[in-house]
Amino acid sequence: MIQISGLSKVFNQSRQTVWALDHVSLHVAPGEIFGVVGPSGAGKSTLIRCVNLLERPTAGEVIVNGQLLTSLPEADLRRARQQIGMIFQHFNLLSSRTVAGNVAFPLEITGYDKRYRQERVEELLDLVGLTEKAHAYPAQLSGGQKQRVGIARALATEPRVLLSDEATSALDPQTTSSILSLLKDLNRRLGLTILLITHEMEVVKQICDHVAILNDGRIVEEGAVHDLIVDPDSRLSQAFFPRGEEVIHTPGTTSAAVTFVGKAADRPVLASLVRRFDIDVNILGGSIQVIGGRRIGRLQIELSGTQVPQALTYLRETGLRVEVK
Amino acid sequence: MDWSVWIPNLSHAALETLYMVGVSTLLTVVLGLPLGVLLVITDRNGLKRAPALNQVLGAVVNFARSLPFIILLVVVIPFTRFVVGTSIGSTAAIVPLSLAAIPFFARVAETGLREVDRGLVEAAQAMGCTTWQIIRKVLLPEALPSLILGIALTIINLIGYSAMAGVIGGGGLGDVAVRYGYQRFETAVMVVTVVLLVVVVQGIQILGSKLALKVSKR
Repeated sequence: MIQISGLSKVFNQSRQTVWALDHVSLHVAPGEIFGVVGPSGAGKSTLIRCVNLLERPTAGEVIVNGQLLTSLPEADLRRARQQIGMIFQHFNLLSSRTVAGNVAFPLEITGYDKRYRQERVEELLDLVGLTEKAHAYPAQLSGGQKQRVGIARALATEPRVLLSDEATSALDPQTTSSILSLLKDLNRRLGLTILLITHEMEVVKQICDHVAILNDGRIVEEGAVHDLIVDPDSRLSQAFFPRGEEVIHTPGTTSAAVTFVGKAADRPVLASLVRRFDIDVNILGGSIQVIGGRRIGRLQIELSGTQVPQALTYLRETGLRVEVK
Repeated sequence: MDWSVWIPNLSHAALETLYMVGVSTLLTVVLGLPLGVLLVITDRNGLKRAPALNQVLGAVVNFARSLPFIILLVVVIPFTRFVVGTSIGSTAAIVPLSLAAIPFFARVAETGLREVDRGLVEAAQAMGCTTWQIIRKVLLPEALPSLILGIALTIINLIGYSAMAGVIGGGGLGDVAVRYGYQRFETAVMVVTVVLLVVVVQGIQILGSKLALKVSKR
């Protein structure tokens, strides 16, 4: 759906060149929610702005909806953009137009007649749950409501791709969560492909299928969220389960990180471990998170006893991931 | 002091002022607004980058604005004669008045247009708007409150300038104040005209502010 290859963006600042993006390639499959995360200054914003060519890449290709955008002439590019929705951190709504007027805006641009526009606006406001705010002005809305208007506007021309530029970063946690649910819902119901950038791990956790971590203009990790999360060495999993301060190792014990995924997280594995192998287990830390709708837990434990190797093998056999330090 | 003479005189002068300022304002907005838009979009971060054009326009605007009005009034006489056929009278005064106000209003409009959030322009580009659509549907409506205030400011400036229109026989309230009030020591006439001008200027400012507030949905 979105294919980015060899994308580079170089900014020439006084006497130094900055590589905002350094040969970035990624592929977003149809119907997927793809998240690009990274610290501020990593190049996320530049990346998403290069997808619809708000920013012209220095090198590389961008294909969206099967069209090679980077080679399109101006007029064709505008038409292609009408088929790519975009939402923004600061909503970017026209303050001089009502909610309905804002949602109708892209339809006016595309040249739909008034009757169709009215019908479609009603439909869209219903979709995002803002029907009763149709005649309000953006200044009268809360942040969450403004973003709902932004979403309705972005979907007005029925695009199959939505770009989200830090869409929840200006919202409080509760509102963020409701906007993310809305996006997930639209993704499922309309088969909408979403490419989002964010610095909030919470967003990845709640809705992303696929994730790429961007650092200094390069993708340093990429994969399906559930694959990365169970891999204790992945940056993603370390972000969710930080190792924390270095635990003081007790001499004569074996310390291990155990990752529980799905069903395994529900079984009393540790209790049976202690009984079966007659060992002592000391829990140093741990947490359980729900990521992409699946329960994933990580425990930091210390084992002591004569049958520790057997115990570790047993843990692995029950389907847990065990990493011995 | 014979008011039966002065009242028709003053009302005639008031109509002249209204005529000169009204038509000049119209011309100023019609020509100055596009100039303001051009100054914004040809800028190096603008929608239609044209740095050379931008610098030329900027220089012309600055030049016109640095000329004292009284000098402009005289310098443009040949041009005025070419456009309206005569260089004296209220209609002739409209030419220099507009020429002085257009660059002024262009700068005022430029400032207002620049205040429009860049994010809005970007959102419009992301939706596939043409430059013209962005100007008409984003920049102008969003800048409307500041444009209205700018027009009020321009009208008030024009009223001030129009007092000098007497030099080329333009007439108007300001001219009455200068010629009868000041030069012939008819203090009462001067006070009346000045009061009238003060009232008009206040009224326009209040009206402009109210209108700007009304269209601002921020």
